[in-house]
Amino acid sequence: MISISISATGKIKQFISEEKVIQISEDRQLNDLKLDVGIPSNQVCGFMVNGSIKRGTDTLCDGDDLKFIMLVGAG
Amino acid sequence: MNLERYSRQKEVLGSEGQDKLLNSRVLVIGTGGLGSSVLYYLTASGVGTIGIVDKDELEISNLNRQILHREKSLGKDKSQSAGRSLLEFNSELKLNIISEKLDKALAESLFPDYDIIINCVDNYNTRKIVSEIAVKFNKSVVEAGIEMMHGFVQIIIPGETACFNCFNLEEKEIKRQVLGAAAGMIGCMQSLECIKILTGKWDKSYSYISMDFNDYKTDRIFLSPAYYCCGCK
Repeated sequence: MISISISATGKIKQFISEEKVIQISEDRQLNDLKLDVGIPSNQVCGFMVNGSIKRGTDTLCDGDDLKFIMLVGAG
Repeated sequence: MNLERYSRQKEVLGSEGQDKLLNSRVLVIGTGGLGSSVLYYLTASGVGTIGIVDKDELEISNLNRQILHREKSLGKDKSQSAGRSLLEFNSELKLNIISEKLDKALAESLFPDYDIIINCVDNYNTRKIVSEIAVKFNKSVVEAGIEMMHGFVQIIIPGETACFNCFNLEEKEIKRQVLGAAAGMIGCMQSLECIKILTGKWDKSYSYISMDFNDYKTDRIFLSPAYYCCGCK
């Protein structure tokens, strides 16, 4: 198990009221973490880890800071 | 040209900034909820030349947010409708109307002729095309999206900030529900960012802004190009 701190931008704040620490398994992909924190699977978002954009298939290391970047699509 | 029209923004932009706008060429893709306010405010600010790309015809369900259009244009070409409104608003505007669907070939033919691209579309596929071709031709983009009560604006400066394709997204169905006022606000933010970039006033401290219209919570972060993005890195 590793711990990560999660912060959020924009829409995520309705799912996470404040920064929190969750426990995840080491092979958990970023895409899967959306579900862990309660983001709907159809919600499109990017991932920023320690200030850098990552793929949804990337995984995290202990202590990483993850931000979800919301990308809504209508115009 | 009557510069008195721009006298109330003279101290904001300076005469040099105003000259830059008057000599600028901006391409706006989409004349919907975002595009309506983008096009009005860029025209109002004195951008000299604006290109409009939109192939759609106006539908009654567009009119809760697409304030650039009028009922008399229902069923008609939206790019032409938008052009008429803008020329009624500012007859000195130089306007290029392109009533076509944007694909890679069209983007490659259009983008070199403009200083900046303002993307106001409603799907991820076109966003990816715009980002890819803009980076190819070293053109800045002001990207945006809106759904329900949430919106974002992304500034894409090739080589400096993340492009849209840095996110490596899969296409997902979009919930096309939005209040016109919220779309208008995001469009206004796109206009402001466009003006700041064109006049050298963008301070490079952020490249992504998100806004929750329920409580006006706003986030700003700077996004560098992703290490795996072969386009912009």
